[in-house]
Amino acid sequence: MERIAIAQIGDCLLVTIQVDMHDRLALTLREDLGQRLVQTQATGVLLDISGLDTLDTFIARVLAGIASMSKLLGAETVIIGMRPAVAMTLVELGLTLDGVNTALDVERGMALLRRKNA
Amino acid sequence: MSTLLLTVAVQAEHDLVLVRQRTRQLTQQLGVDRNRQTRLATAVSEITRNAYQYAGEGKVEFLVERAPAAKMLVRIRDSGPGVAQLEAIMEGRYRSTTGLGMGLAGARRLVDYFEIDTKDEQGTSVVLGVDLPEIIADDQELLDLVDLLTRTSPGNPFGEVLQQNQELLRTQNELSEANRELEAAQSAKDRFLAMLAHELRNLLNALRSSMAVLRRRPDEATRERMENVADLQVKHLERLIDDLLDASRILRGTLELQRQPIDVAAEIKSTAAAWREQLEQRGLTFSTEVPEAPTWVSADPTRLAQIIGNLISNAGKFTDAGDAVAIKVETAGENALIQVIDNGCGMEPENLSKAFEPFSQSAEARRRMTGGLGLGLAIVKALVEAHGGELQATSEGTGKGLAVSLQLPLGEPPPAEDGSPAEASGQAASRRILLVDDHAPSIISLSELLRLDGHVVEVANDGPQALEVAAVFQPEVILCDLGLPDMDGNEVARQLAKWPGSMRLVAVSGFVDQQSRQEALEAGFERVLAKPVDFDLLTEILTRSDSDN
Repeated sequence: MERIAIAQIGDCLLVTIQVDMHDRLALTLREDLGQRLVQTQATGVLLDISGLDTLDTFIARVLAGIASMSKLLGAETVIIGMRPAVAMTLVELGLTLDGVNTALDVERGMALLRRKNA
Repeated sequence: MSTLLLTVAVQAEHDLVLVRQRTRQLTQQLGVDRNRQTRLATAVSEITRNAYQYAGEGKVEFLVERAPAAKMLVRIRDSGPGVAQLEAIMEGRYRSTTGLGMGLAGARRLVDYFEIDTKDEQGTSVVLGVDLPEIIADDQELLDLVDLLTRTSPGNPFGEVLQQNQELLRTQNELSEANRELEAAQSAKDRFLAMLAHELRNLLNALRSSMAVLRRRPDEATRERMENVADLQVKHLERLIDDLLDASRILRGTLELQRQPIDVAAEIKSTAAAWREQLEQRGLTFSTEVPEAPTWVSADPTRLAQIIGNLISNAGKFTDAGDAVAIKVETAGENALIQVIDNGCGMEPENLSKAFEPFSQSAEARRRMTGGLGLGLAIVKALVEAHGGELQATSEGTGKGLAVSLQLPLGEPPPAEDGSPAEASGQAASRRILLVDDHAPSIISLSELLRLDGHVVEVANDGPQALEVAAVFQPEVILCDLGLPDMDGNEVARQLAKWPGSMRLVAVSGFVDQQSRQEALEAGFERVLAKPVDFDLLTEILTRSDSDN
């Protein structure tokens, strides 16, 4: 069964999406991440989407869903590495990903999480 | 006029990924800039998903149009129910109940060219297009392009990355599995140490208080009681240490068996007899069902007794007054089948496998405070397996009793004996004995005991002193500790072996394994006894005359 790897770094879960996800894979990731959050009681989630060059409304909604779910489970989510083209496309699609934090790279993402959780 | 480059059938979720990849690859090859690659791929993804979702399948065609202007077109067709409320959707007034309303309208915003044709119940066709920066020269160039694409089989790099991702994931799973095992082992060890400390403390406590009573010079009856208490503690301590050593031998795989033909039926009869009183005192019914004819197996007698004793003791621990414990022996095919069955507290079937793991104690065992280290059954299992047998436990659940069945391969009966072994004389003759030990308390108590039995005893605290004393005292027997400072017991024995005359050398050691035993025997000791010394055994050794050697 395909899955996206979830790594733990201290209090954070790091999800690096290296592949163009099909819809079910995205949903599986959401479930897995929920379980890992409960297990590890992590307080932050870093979603690295630098490997994604297409982000359509479905995947974007799943990512936003991951962010709100994580929030309910006590973790802040930061999406990192979004490509400029993807960002522009999202804006044009009318998706603003409200409530989702973004940062340019892992380092800035971690810093943002630390500030949020301070 | 347009040229069809490629068709992708959308029949499964994965195909959506492939369609996105193809859109990217083609636009890239045709010189479309990155932003517009992403926009077209996103729009194609939206529409293709709609087709898959509403019609269950679809077809995506990639085309190039040269006139009037160079364009790349993607036509997505399905034969689904068609799009109702098309106008509302396109004008952005429609809010989809599935939350997907943005697809069509959003897709249109992302592309240079958009066309939709939908008929009720006859399907939908959407064409998305992007302007191309260069004119494509001829069909040959286009065909080469498609050729290139199809040769890079569908999503090859994608597959590779996916593969890497899976490997990463597997490694991660293995790591976290290993981590969980480590944590479990760690907590088992912690529990074990806590239990060991608890057990030892209890023993010491009982010993200390009985000593305190003895120091006050109580009457005969009290003294005897206190001595029994102390005796029991020592036996218990001995058993703990034996268990620990057994467990360590088992873990290191250095368990050794001294196998010989044994009548397991007779063995069980005698073990059962030894246990009967103790079990019946606790209000248990104890029954045995053992065949009259001998049932021969090839086993180590000490170990076999240990196995059976442990199983009976275990049954005794998890039963209450009024319960019954039964032990049965029968022959089953090539095996002797021994069953120990009780109707005590039992356990849930899923916990059965854990019962035989070292250091594991069930919640019930902890509640009953049965003592012990959680090693008994683990040792039994290892011993049974070392004998080539099999051990199984079955229980129908909590409160429904436990049945442990043990199968040992049947063995040959012993060769017929001619004559009975010589009887020990029973009465220990007085011997001249030299005790060598650097542990003063051991020497004091043992020398006292030996003197009480009528022997003449001298003592030495180290090797050189031992040689000195031996030269003058001329002992018949030397009991020598192996772990002496400077000159160890083996060296003492080698020195003594050079002397004329016949001194018997018996080694005593706190740590006896096969190797140290072997070394001691080679150094000239006739026997190696483990500490604490079994006094009956020692008496027997001393009783034997020199001619027995």
